[in-house]
Amino acid sequence: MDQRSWFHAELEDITREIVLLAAHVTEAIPAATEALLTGDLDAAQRVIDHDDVLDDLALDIEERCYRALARQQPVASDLRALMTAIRMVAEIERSGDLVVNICKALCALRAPDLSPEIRGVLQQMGEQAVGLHRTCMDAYADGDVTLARSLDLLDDELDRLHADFLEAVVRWGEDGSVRDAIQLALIGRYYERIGDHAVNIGERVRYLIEGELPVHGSLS
Amino acid sequence: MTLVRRSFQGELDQLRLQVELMGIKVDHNLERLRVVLAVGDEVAAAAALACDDEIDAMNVSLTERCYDLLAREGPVASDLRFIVSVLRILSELERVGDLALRVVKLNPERHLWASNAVTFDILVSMGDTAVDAYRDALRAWSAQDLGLATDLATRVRAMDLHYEHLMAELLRLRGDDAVRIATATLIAGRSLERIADHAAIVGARLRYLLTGDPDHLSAEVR
Repeated sequence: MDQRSWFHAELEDITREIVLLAAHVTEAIPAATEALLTGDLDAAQRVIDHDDVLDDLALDIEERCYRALARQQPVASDLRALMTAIRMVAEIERSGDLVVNICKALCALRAPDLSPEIRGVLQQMGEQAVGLHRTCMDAYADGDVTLARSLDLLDDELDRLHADFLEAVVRWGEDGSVRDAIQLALIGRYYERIGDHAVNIGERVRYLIEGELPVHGSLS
Repeated sequence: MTLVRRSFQGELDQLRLQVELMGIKVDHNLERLRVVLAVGDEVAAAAALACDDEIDAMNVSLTERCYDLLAREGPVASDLRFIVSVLRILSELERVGDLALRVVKLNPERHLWASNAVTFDILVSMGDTAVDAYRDALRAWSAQDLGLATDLATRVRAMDLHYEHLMAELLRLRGDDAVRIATATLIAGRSLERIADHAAIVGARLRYLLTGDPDHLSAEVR
């Protein structure tokens, strides 16, 4: 196999690995939400334990990218594909960490029986977060820039849900405990940040396809 | 050293300085964050918003320059490590800037932070600690100082102690506004804690750059 063929085979393999890494996160988000809604601490612990698999996979992909970069010295779209891969791995891995944080916060809750209002918004946030994550990865896998652009609007909806959630937590906290209100506020923030990372991935996909770097603004 | 090599080396030196310059802009916004935290200064808050746009633009421009160098020079070994490390450090600096802005944007809720003297003091200390950690990271980068980078990546961090203290004190809050104060303070505190996290990641990345040991990359995976 010549250098160029090797490189393209390697790039395809790296892309497959990234999609696999993201699939772990796509599965972990609803698992964490379900654990939250049912108060299932064993299920939460399983999500936490599984994070080591994601970390190892993320490191492995990143090192493969560096090796490919050094061996082939790619240019133009090949270089963009490799740089996109490096940046995406970090975003996906951090989303995985946030799911773990949700589960750890659940384990710290004293009274996991939440009010119907909080449960309702949590469920919507979970669905919105997994929708964002799935959409950004579909945009990457299919090279779909329209899908990548749609992420901003989806994230706005998650931000709105997050604001509703915080208000619901404050209302609930008037009768519940400060301890649990703190954990719930953190949980809301973790979902919101999963959305931010999906938007970042969408920006990387746009760079991959269009060759221009959008100015990052997902946190602003 | 050939002329071509000398010119490439000059571009890498320029890149290092430009990263430092972006780091200084982020530092200015961290200082504004401290002012907003302490006295809720709206002028400082507006200046931080404008400066963040410059930081974002600089991030894009330097990232493009890295890609250009990768494509044009096909660097290997330590030069490749340097450019890839710059890309990662740019992300970290930009995120520190975003987190500073996040706290600045919470200025309208400042009365909630300030309404409890104990938790407010801790929050101010967290702001100071975050800025200190960030400045160590910036100093390590500008001097390419392995000792300081190692210290940043491995030290028992004052921020962890502040955060635990803050959580403990928030749990003591009582009264009608307890939950509102706790959640508002927590959101600001969490952002400050993450600024220190990103400073530690810069330390880990610098260790990888200076030693070539990929084990330091795993310090970035949290």
